[in-house]
Amino acid sequence: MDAARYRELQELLARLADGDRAAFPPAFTLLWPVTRAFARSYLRDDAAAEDAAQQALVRVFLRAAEFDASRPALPWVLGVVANECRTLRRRTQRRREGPLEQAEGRPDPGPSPEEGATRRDLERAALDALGGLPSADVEAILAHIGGMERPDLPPATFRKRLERALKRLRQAWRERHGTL
Amino acid sequence: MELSEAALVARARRAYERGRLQAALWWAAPLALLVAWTASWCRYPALAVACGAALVLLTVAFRWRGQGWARAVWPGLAAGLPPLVLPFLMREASQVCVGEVCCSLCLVGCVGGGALAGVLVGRRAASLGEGRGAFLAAAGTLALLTGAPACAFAGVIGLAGLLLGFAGGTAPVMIARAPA
Repeated sequence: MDAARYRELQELLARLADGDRAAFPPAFTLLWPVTRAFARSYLRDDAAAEDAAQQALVRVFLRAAEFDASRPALPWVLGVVANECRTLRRRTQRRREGPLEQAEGRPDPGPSPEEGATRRDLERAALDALGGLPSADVEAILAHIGGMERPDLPPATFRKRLERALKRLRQAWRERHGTL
Repeated sequence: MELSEAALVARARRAYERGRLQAALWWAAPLALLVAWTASWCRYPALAVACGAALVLLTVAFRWRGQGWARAVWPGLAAGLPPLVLPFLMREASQVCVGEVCCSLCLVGCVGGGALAGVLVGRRAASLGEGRGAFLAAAGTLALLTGAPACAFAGVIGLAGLLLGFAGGTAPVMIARAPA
């Protein structure tokens, strides 16, 4: 997603939150590929990602009325998608669990409940810190981690922008949580 | 379960409308307290309940519809407070006489409160570039429904006074601010 589309998404979600139904079709067209790409990079399983992306997109629209237009739209959307992916992964893991006799003696390959809770808290805190950054910073960080398309910039410029964005993210994290 | 894109669009659209409705219901829920309070002291509890039900329903509808209609809800409810509170405070007082002309103080509260509500709604409507008519209709209806239970103390004359006061308060502001 390039900067123009990022701005368009911000504007469309603000219009949807305001109740402008005309913003629905373009918002859907813009959100569907983003949601699908993020779910794929998160779950690394096309079929599961498709399922999670559909659920997540429905949830994004369900919560569109709550969107605060003063906050950046993309981290908000990705937060909803990440949450949906996590839920789906948990559900799949639970379904894969065999009978108790077979499981006896085998260590659980997944994270422990404490680890899971810590990871969820960290993800939420990271999305929160990301949400407070300027849109160009969010764009650079998401492009770096594969959550959106890399902006059409020379590599050196992109690297500089990413450095600045990460510095500001660290600063935002320190302000919120005091450590890094 | 994967859906075709058309089915996903339809599902997302339904989710969007459902989300707006849920948000509107949560928003309007505290008004039930106001309705219960007015019904507890209104001279005609049935009227208070009917006005209150209409108030809650319209608030939900306007919030769900969004845009100018939703933006009219707060000003409408706030403008309804003077005609609700003034007659309520004056309901114990008997009459006020100027020379040989006497009238119920409660009625004065209805007309005065209605006029104040009219000025508040009219000023806000006049400051709008577009959607003035929808704003005036929505905010005016909510203001009148909010104030009506208190004005019912003075009977039909109280309600008529409220309506006249509102019209008297709105018209001059709208005329004065109308574009030349």
